Amino acid sequence: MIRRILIRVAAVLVTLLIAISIAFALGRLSGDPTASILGPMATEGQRADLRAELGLDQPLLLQYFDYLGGIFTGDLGNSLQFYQPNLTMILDRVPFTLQLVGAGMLIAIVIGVPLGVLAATREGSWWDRAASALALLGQSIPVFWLGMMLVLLFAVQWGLLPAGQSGSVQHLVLPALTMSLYPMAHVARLTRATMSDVLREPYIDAARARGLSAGSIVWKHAFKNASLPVLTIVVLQAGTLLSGAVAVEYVYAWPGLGQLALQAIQFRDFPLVQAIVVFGAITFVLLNQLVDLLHALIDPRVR
Amino acid sequence: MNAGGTLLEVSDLTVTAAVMDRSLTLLHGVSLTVAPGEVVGLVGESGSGKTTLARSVLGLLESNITIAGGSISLRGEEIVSPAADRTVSIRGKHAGMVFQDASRSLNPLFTVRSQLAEVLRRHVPGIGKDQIAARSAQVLERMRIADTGRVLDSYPHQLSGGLRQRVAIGLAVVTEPALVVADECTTALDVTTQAEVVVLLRSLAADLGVGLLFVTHDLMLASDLCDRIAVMYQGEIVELGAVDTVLLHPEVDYTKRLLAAVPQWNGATSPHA
Amino acid sequence: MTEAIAALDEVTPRRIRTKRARTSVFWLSLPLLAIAATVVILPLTGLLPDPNAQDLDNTLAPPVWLAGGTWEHPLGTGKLGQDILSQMVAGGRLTLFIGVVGALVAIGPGTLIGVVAGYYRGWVDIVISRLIDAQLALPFILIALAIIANRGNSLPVLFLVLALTGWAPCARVTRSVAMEVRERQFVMGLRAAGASEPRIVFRHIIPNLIGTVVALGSLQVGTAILVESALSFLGMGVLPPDVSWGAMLSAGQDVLTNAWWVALFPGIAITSVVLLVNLLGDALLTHNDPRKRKR
Repeated sequence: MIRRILIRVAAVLVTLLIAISIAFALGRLSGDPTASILGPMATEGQRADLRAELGLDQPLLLQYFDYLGGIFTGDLGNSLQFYQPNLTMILDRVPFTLQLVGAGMLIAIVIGVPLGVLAATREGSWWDRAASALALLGQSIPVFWLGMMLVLLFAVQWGLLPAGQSGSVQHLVLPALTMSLYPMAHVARLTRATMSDVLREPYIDAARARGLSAGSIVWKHAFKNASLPVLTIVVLQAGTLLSGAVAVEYVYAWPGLGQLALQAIQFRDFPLVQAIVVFGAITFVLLNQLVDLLHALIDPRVR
Repeated sequence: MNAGGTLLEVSDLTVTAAVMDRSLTLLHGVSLTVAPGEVVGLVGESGSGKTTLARSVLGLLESNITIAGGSISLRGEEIVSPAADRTVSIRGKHAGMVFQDASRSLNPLFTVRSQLAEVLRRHVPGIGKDQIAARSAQVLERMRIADTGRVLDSYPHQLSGGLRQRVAIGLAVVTEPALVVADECTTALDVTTQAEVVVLLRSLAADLGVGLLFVTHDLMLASDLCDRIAVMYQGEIVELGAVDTVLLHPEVDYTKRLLAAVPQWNGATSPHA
Repeated sequence: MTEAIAALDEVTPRRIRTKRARTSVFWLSLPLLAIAATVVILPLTGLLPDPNAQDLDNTLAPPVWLAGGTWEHPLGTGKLGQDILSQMVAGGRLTLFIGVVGALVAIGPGTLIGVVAGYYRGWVDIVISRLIDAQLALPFILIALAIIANRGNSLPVLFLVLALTGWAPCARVTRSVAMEVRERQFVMGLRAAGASEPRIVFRHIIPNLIGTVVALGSLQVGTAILVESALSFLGMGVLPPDVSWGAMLSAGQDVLTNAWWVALFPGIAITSVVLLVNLLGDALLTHNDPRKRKR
């Protein structure tokens, strides 16, 4: 048992190392950032100074170990524009993004899962068509544009909800709704697909033969089996949601991680961008581990 | 009420299926009875309609299949007719079903204990926790399972194929139904386990008076287990009678051909050999 | 060769839906081609003003059917009086171009990598599979941020981002199809007959994948358009004076409260094109049975 846990932890560490290394490679191997940071008017001397400040004049391998050492001691460097540790700024913004992603995911699940189940139990019905339409639309609409249109209708036209910034539940409604569409589409489609597969399993027939109630067959016996892939998508979509969060936070002036990333890009704040990328990559690896953990919790066969 | 002690009565049952806006007849006016404690074998090749007949009894037909005529009664009460389907009231309570592949007819995510408990809670109103535990253990013992405690707390994948099939039978009979329908329930098992399951099924009929409708394509097995045999061919029962009569003196060509196809039959038992 | 394939056809059950899928492929391609033709041909007629021409007397003019709208600017004007219709056409051209090229740069390497992994197996496959997993685990925005922070934004950088974020899903699918094709009898026969490996891959495996790849490519066009629009919207993609639908949305965000039409039309255009492309991709996936391709 202890051996298995150790192997597990080692595997997680290796994956983390790979992800961090990819982030490093993306940052360093795509060329010298000083040109784009300082602009075309900079002299070679200014660029050399900045390279030295960023440690880019060191041998690549040394930079890499420096970078790894920094990460393991919780040091993600300092921002060029804010003169603050990157990690502090990131952690300040995380709760806001978490709020947005969490609320968006909740809406996606609360609507997507029942819709998918209804579609699977009534194939060819209007529920089924609604689920397909939602899945298609959700994958085709640019989320930020949807956000703009929602602002236009609910905030500008009808004045029902605030158009931007954060603070209260009302502020959260529109951004969360906007965030939810894409994962909702995925969740509904996947729930429908796995549920209709599971409902064809012999053990569902057997459960019917044992006279169990329709509710128990669909929601207990079938849904528990279908929940594994759905859960995987939910957790992994939380990652994709972070991508969407950047644009949605911009539309709603939401003070999350995405806004910070945008500011960093606009000011060519190279260390901050890199810190955000590393932070995101680590979050991702951990989310993937969470999926495995949840699998083991639900399915006795993978324990 | 049927005084003659008929448990299951299928009379003139006709079943059709809608396939791509055409109507196929799966069963043509089939009639059959099963008495309490009697084992009736339903044999025939695949596509002969034996599974359709078995599934109609419990109302487990696909949505494109309809009862076009005739009826099915259980203990004198009509449960299936073109007008109404009352199988919900008997399913799991008065009639149980055992399927071909036990490893797939048990939900992989629940323990044996919780699957048994759910069936009991559903069909025995007001049953208490202790009673559930007692009856669960009891039914597994009847299935000749030695360490019932371990099996109860196991998930299906932790059990052997033979154990799983016995658990599946246990799930079908834990509510003490009057009728059990077994659909090819030994096909997926090896020969030794198959024999054990057959002994078990016979004891259900002999000791508890359960009526058993045993669907199989295996004539040898049917002759081992059954009192009477119905031979099905293209949606009709072509021959029906006591095991010895049907197997030793088949009247219909189709039965003769079926018998000829069984390798051991020619030398060992058949008088025509 | 062909006989062997025909023989394989016999034993493989064919989907009944293929015929319906073929007609829907036709009806979905039609509007897409019409849009492409419009955005290419219309500017050549000289009827439209320059998309960047400023008409400062007519800034933020509404579309023609609203009070204050004129036929001079049928879809209204932007902040500096740019004609929205002209921008829609010019933006459509660039957006479709980015969509198609962006799909090609992702699908090309993705297919090759997937085929190599699926065909050669062994450690090559193990390494590539790990890479695919790692790539799929990293959200595209992180990769986009890392590259754009470093290289600034330009069209080549945009294509680099699209290639780096798009190859993996394609590689995963082609890998498994290549694995399956590899085990087919005719490939085994070719190897037994001593055909060279590259020849088998390029002459036999890849042609068998084409149906799948075209379908994936179609879906990837949709993804590329969405990525482009998001990046341009955030100021990390297409920048003025170039016009794309995504860049138009970025301009529309600034004037959203007083001139909604600036953001409405490009959004509708993106959604409809991506919707059509996605439907087309789905229909192609249903339709494509690589063995039926020569007919």
